[in-house]
Amino acid sequence: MKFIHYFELDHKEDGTGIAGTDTVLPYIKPLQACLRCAVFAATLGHGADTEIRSAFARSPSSGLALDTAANRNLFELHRKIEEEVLAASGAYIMSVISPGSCYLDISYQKDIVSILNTIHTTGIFVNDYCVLTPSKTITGIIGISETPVVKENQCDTCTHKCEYGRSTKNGITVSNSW
Amino acid sequence: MASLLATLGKEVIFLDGAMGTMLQRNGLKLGKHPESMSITHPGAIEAVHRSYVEAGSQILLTNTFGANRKKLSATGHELSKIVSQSVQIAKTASQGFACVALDIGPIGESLVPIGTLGFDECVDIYKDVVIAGTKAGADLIFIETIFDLYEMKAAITACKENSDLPIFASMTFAEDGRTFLGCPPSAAAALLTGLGVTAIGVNCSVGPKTLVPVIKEITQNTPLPVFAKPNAGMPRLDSPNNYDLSPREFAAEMMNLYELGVCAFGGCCGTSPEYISAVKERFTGRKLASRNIKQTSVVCSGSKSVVIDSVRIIGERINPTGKKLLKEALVSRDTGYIQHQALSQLDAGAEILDVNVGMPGIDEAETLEWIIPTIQAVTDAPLQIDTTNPKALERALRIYNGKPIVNSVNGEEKSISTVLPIVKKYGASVVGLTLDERGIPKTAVSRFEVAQKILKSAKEIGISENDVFIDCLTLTVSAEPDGAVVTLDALAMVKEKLELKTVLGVSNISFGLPNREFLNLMFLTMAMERGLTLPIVNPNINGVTDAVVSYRLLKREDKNPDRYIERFGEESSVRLRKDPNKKLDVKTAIIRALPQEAATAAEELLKTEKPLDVINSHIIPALDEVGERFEQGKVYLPQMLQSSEAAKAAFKVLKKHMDAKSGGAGRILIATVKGDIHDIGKNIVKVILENYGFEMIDMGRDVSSEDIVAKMKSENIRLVGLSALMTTTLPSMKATIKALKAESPYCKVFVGGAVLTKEYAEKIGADFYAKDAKTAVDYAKKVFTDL
Repeated sequence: MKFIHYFELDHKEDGTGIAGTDTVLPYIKPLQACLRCAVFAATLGHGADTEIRSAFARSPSSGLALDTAANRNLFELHRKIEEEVLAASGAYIMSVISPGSCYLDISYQKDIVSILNTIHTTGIFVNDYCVLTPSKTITGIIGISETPVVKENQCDTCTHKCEYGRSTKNGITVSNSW
Repeated sequence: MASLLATLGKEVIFLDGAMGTMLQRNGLKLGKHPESMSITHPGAIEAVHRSYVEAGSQILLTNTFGANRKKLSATGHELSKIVSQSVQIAKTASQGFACVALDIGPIGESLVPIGTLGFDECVDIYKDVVIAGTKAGADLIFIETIFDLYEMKAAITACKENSDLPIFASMTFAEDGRTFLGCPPSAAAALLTGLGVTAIGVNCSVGPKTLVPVIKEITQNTPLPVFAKPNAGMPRLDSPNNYDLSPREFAAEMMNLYELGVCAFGGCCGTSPEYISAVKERFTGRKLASRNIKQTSVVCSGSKSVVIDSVRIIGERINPTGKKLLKEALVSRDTGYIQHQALSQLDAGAEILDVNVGMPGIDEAETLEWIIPTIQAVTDAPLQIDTTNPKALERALRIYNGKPIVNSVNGEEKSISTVLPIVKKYGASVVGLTLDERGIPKTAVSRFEVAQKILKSAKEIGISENDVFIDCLTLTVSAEPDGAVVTLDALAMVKEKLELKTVLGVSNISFGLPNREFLNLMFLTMAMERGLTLPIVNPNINGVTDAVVSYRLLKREDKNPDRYIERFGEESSVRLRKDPNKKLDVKTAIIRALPQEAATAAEELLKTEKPLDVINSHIIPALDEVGERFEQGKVYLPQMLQSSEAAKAAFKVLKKHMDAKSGGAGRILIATVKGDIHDIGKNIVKVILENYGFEMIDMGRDVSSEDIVAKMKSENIRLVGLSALMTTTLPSMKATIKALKAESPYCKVFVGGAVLTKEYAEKIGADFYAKDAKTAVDYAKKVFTDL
């Protein structure tokens, strides 16, 4: 299940407002070129969580396999949302910015749930600790620009230099661990 | 109000339309709570209400949809004031032309086991709203836009316990005909009817035409009045406040619902007074359409209903009588074992599970309180709650998600007066045992008379005959030669003369005799032919499910013989045949992840070695070898888990020969911390540690530091494992470690989780950072060696 909503953006000195809401995003450099955005929430649903729990109760290896497959499905859903937004926007799109990523504090999970009314549109909840249920859920913001976009490698500007990071050299992005 | 309610189900009634849509069109921002406007902009709210009254609405919903202490905490407004003000505004606007309904919407958090909100806390949150609204003078309570049947039950429970107002209960269904949590309309109809609401309905999510299958299923499965408040179709992407149906189109589509027997009509998101006017114009003067109401017996969980229209197996294995391992699991709260027992019965053909925890030394109410959610976390099969302890029964029925069967009431006055009111309160079905103060009657006629008495008592208290199932009692023919005949004759009488569903504990028939399995199978078949609907059996016994599936085919209950073919068709009968001459030793079987072979080899070893020696000399070394290969990157986690499963199969064999208190590498408490619901990693670590002989006390997820500390103290635990997946829940981990160390400095704590690092673990006071399951094992071994 997915729910996508489009908003105008209002760039100010202290951040970027999402029009029609009280949500103000922090300064996000790649977003400055965008005048619109898509805000989305997508989930595999509560049934997936129940099936994974059941599978684990029967056989931990089966539960692990199903959990992994579900994660793969979620990435696929993520990709489809990007494709849909690209097609609907008729313009250029940024990489997805999700709460908990280097650009956006995880507390924005509550904003997204609220402005999309996800409880009623997709059955997605968020608790006081910003944990989403169902667990196989993604949310995010996709900036839409009228001019071509150079997708920034987020790892270049991230302060957490982890072993999974990527570097961009000569326009090619590769994993640091390769 | 009284006059309007008197017409409910007899004449068309007009509800109101959306409040939120109207306010958003006038500037309310997305994500803002409109309830505060009852204080800040009462005129605006009153204007909306008035416009609906002028359009013809006979019931106005107060501006209290999101008014609960959770959602209002950030607004600074007091709940009781908002509710009271909202009721007064609606009353003023109605000018006596409309009833005022206290509108109650979802709390906004998910309940256990999906989320972290407990059932009792949920009831308590709703209780505040109900009390405030009743005190303010609302005419009825309207619970709406709920898609979790469990949350609906909590809301209705809060209403019934704190108010006498009529209750309209409305659930929200998605395009696939189920709620977001998978609840089918039949389950909603079954439970809400049993709980005794005044009317059942559907609102929000989709437009009228899409709701046709949902409304059809509801109108067929409840005798109660049914209402509908759909959206104005689907939202248009270009404008969130505009939907794709015009008022006229909306009213036209509502005809589909009218024809199914809906008696009250309104609108939800996207609608406005114009929509209500259009509906009123179309339906004024029309008589209600007739309904096709089925007389069925239905039990359900939160996401599955089982219609008892043919023989359905009730699995009997979750009953500690004569089961050593289950008794141990109940005492040690081994949730994994319980869940495995539940699932294996369902995989074998059971459709309902009996849950009995009666044994000396445990608190039945407390045990049912954890075991029911444990089972419901992994299966949607309805449960039969098997207890005669009224306190345990009340507790179990309260926290059960759905409509269960209660086993049981009997013909004794004391039983009738204590059990039936509890059954009625929670809307359950009930098994009536045909015994009374005289004991078990010797004749079929006498048992039939007890059945009549139970049915009469149930109906007097308001329990439908569709919810009374009779157990004519099975006595072993080794002691009662006429036992089978009397039971079968009584069964036939109950079925033919009372037309009730019947239950039997089949396996009792053969107690004390040889060749029990075959005798049970014969009795089962004879009983089904005489009218048995719900056999309580062990579906894992060879032939039991086969007999039921075959019977259903022969009696044409399995019309397209899908179940028969599924069970006996060519593909399902293909079995992988292993070479019986090829025997593997335990170690090799575990390394190769072959559970059957590991169990067989363990059995063989027990002829010459003691169980502890098998563990220490064969199983542990096997697991150590797999663990080394894992560390070297030669095997991966799934393979390690599969080896664990093989080891577990060997352990199962050994446990039967071991004293419960003997052995054990050490006791470890494990939990996911408060606020976090992720537990896959924790569960994997638990499985691996168990296979090394550690006794795991798994407290589950979202566990408070207070509960962890209390458990550590009561069980005298020396090693605790904590898990967290989110940075937001790491403070809970830090607080838990601090609390543990304060209470017991000797207690060691190891931590794990995707966001953790060795450095952070040290920073928050953990004794060890376990980067994976293998390192957790190594640390645990070290801790218990050093002790």
